[in-house]
Amino acid sequence: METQSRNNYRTIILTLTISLIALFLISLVLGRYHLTLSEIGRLILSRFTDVEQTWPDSAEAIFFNVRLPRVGLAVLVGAALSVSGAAYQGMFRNPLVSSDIVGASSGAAFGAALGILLGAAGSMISLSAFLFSSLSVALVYMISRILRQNQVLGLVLSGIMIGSIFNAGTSFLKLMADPNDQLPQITFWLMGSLNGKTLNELFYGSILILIGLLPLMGLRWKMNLLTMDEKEAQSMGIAVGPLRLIVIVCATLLTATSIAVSGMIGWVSLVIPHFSRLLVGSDFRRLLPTSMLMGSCFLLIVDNISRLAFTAEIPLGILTSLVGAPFYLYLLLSRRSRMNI
Amino acid sequence: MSLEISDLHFSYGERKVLDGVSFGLKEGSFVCLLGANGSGKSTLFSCILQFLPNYDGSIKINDTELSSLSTKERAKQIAYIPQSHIPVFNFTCLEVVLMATQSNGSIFYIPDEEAEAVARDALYRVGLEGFEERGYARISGGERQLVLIARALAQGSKYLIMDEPTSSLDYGNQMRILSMVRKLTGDGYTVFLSTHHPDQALLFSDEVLLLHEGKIMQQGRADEVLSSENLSLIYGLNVELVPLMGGKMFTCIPTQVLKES
Repeated sequence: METQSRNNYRTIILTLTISLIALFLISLVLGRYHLTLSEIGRLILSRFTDVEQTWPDSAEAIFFNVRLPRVGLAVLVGAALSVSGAAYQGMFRNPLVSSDIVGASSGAAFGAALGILLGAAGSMISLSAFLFSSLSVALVYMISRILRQNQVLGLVLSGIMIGSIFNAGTSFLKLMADPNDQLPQITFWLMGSLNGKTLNELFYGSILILIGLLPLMGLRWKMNLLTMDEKEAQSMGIAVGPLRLIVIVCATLLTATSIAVSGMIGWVSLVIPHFSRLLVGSDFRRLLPTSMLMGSCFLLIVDNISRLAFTAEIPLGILTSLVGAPFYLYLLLSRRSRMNI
Repeated sequence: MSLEISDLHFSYGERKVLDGVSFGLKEGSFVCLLGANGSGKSTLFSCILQFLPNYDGSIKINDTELSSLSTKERAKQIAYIPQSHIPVFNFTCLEVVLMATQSNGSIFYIPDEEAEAVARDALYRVGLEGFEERGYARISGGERQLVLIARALAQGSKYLIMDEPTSSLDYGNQMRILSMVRKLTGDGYTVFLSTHHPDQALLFSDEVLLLHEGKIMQQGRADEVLSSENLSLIYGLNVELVPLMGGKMFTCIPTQVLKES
């Protein structure tokens, strides 16, 4: 990297890291039940060592059972969705692809709705979401390969088709669901929210997200080659098939885990990689870390708005769509002039 | 060091495309592959580069069967230079060249300072010093082709396979690119290049391979192989070879077209 762009990149990463830490702490403090930073520090310390209790029991319950899982998951899910979006865009060689378009979301939604309908436990709902998400992406990918004459069109068409089948399936499951219990659960889940998350979900979610995230971070340079023509990549020594499979499996794990813990949070996976690309360019070496940090910051901000700005909580998916959809239109309109910088 | 191809056969289903192709390339030579559309040129390259691995026959570099090498090991032997194109994402020229440096690295390879030095040197060698941070999509077609040549140099392989590298370039860029590639043979690179222009072969090549209906029709010096008879047979058109500069050079004239017009 040229010295100037390397310095720019370092400044961007440093700014985003500081912003993320600041946002994380602010988000822990903010809420209908106000906690101070010193209380939070003592509460965390109390889990590792003997600390004199100076806080009410309710503060401890709120911090560990409500605030920390929610804020922690916002960071993880924001990072996971953004990184998976960037990865999908690279693998499908299309900057307008996201986990929504390649069917990962609709597959995961169906899987999770099926899990809820069958009365499965939280981890089984996640597993079901993951399996159906993978199935959906695999189908979209295979069909787009068959429609070789125009890869982008093939991808969009097969994504719409498979997505629509899974959406129809989800609607059918809603029809079958108990209207007093399962239906509200599925409906609210589909709107996307981090409300009511537990430390357990934070724990398992972070393990799965790390399993998806770490290989992608390691492979981020090679992902550049996968955006080139398959023959070119192969001639430069890349085992294209296996590598692409690893990246798609990791990206699907990230998407499926995110959706399983937070429901449908649209547009983050499309919009954040684009913002990041405008800042640091297309090289995945810089794009993935930037997307990861920016995604976490973005979702923390939106989640804070979701839980604090209104008397009744607005589901996260609604807010991200309100921001994401107009931005998508903007990208479509200005893609040529802005992206080929 | 040499590339040896023996009794190569390849079919797309029932359709035979390569039918017992055998030839050898000498180290440091510039060899042009000529043939009509559909004669099997691209298929031959695809077999050599193992894009189409289901061929019958043998393709060896230094007595090693290419199919027995891993993708990574193969990349150290042969580089592929496609026609210049605009990728989906706009990488910088340096990033495009750096892509070829990974054939020595581990699975989690990230280019280091040394790889960057190799890539910068490759850009310098093709005359693109100062292009490092320029967007690959924003430079001209000729410059993009040079970046792809630089990428092949950064790959470190001594055999360069070029599939019609000048087909989308203007005349000036065609000559500049071919003359650049010609110079590389002096550094020990072996260039195997397909072209639709016999004149390019007459100007630059050490040897010409004529591919006709999936078979090697003739191999040898350009002025010997590119006879009026051979060209007329291949292209289905009367072509005459006209001497220039007292017979030091030749050029092709499509006499049939001249007469008709």
